[in-house]
Amino acid sequence: MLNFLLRPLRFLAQSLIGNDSPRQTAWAVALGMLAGLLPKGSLLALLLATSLFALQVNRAAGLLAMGLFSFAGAALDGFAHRLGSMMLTWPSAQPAFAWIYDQPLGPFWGLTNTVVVGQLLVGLYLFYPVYRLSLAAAAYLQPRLRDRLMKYRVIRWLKGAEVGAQWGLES
Amino acid sequence: MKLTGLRQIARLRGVLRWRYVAPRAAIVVAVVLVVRFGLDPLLRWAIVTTGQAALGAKVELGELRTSLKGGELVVTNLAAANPQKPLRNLIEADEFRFQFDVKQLFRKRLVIRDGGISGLSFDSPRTTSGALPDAPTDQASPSPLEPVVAVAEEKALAWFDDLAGRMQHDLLGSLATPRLVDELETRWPQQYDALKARAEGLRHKSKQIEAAFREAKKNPLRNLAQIDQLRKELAAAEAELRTAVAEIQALPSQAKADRLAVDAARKQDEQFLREQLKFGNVDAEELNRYLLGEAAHGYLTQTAYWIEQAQKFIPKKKIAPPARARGTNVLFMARKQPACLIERVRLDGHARFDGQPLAFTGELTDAASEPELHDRPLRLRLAGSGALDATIVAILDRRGDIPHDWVRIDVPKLMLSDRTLGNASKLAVTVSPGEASLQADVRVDGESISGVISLRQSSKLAAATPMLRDDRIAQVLHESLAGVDRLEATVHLSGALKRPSVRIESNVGPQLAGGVKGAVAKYLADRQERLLAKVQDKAVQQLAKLEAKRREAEKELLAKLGQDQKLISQIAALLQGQLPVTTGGLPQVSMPPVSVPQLGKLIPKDKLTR
Repeated sequence: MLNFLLRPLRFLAQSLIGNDSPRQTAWAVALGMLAGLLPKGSLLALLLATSLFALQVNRAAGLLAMGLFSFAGAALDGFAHRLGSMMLTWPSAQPAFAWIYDQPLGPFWGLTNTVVVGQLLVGLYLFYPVYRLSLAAAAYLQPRLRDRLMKYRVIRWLKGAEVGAQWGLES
Repeated sequence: MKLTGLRQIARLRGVLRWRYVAPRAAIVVAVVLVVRFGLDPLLRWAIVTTGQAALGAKVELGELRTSLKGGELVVTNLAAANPQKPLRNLIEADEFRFQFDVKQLFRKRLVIRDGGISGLSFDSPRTTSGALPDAPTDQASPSPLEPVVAVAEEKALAWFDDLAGRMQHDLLGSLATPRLVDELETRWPQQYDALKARAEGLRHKSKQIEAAFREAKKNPLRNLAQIDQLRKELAAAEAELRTAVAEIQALPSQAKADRLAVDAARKQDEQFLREQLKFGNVDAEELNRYLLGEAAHGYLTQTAYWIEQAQKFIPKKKIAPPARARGTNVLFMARKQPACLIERVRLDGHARFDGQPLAFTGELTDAASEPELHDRPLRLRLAGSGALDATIVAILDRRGDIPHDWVRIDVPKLMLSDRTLGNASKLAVTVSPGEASLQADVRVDGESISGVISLRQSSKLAAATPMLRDDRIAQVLHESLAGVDRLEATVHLSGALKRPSVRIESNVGPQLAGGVKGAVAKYLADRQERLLAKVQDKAVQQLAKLEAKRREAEKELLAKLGQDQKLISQIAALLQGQLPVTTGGLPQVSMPPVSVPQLGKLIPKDKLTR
């Protein structure tokens, strides 16, 4: 129960002072951003969310990014719809979309939906900039924050709890 | 090369979080295994549960096998009970074998390319009840045709009851002549008794006067007052005698008046009997509806039931779901396709018709879960052989806003057993076994129905009227339809589906109406003629008897009155002879002789005979 209550805090601490490298944190933020922007319920969103958990990236940073960009994505729906509509109705791209749709599991990818395609384009467009910015931010902030935060007992305690959780001591 | 592969694995091991991936991979494997080995029980449960929920009765199946690799689904011994008749199956089949397109499953679609349903039967018996323990019981709604048939039956039977009532009516009791003759017969003895009593009373009185006078004569002077009194009494007796004689002499004129009254009564009777021959008319269409309505009602109710059952399972055009909250879906094909589609299923099964085995084969094509997304309507074609050669084609088109259903039945040759049309206890037509043909063409467009059902049967028809209980009329009625060697009936359907209007055209109604009416009219006319003649004969005989009795009585009474007159004359003579005018003041009795008519001459012979 305590672990359940402390989990968000632990995630926050983990994302800031975890042992993950800045690259891992940057990848996580970029992936989380992409997964967060996409409407949930498609195979694409599921695949991205699974990648976030399955890859050696900073999960906490990825989940935070996903949560944040989910709100941002909802605000961008109008723009994403227009962008997706343009893309889906672009004659040159239609054979490719039709081919994808016609493949097994094609309808499950959600690539016929204007908002999914629009958000995917936005996400892909922002992926590298977000990665670079996250990498720079992580490289700059992580050591400093770690040093500063580790001075606090509670953070050390949370960090210890995280280590313990990772070793299966939570139960 | 091998080194490169190992390096890639090592790199992948560094990239993937195996503690997360491994359990999820194990779950995926478990799901695949569950699907592989648990799909059949799961599908079985799903079919039974959803089938029972939809039907409200038990759904049972023997074996279910699926092969995702081969794209095959086999269901054996499927039986779905009839919720209205728990000991009968709505549908039963030995085997369902469907070939489905596996690739389409990955495209969110179930497409059955080909299939077969064998051993199909409808309304087959069950050994155990198919009712669900807590199934709500459907209240059978009244058939829309019931009021139409009931009204027709009421009108036809009212007409027939009127005819039967006229035939069974006590005509004799309603005639005036017999009543009048009876009345005369009753009245005459009373009149005779009264006259006889008067004659006897006169004689008695005369004798009393005579006896009193003889007594008074012994001392006339002392009994002057008494003699005077006796004279007055004698005068009164004489007056009464004259009255009685006058009454008797008036008897012939009374007989004349009676005969006139009998003539008037006869005329009244003739008029009454003429009125009895005026029948109410029945509409031949009403009679058709009465005779054939029940049969049509049965067929249409059965058809409506199956249409209703079919409509439960055939999806209507769905209302477009609300647009997705986030974005819209763009199609990359000519048109959107239905999620479930049965392209073609062959059917073969068996049934019984009129007790004879009937085998049928058929084909169901283009059954779609969203019919509006499919380019062809559902089509069912069945061909029967054995008990009857029949073709049934049903097209259910739900692609537009208004559903259009069309059913065409063609049975060129059909052997029908004998049957009774109408109410067997009152008025019915029996149809002998014969060869028939049946064509039906019925359309349901939205909420309206239209169509024509035609039946042609080569059979002998016979009218049965058990209520009339008269061999002669039964014979006449039988003859009225004896010339009819075919039954033709055409049912026109129109109006609203829930309350269709039915018009039945047939050769039976007009023939029967004419036959029954003619037979009853002839029967009644004959009967009335005979009755009238009988009543007249009886009246004449009774009047003659009465006249004879009167003559006898008149003779007898006049004889008696003659004796009375003689006695009175003698007494008067005595009174005049024995009383000299010495008493003074006493009135002289003047007794003119009573003229008693010559008996026998008084009877007007010409009026006593007809």
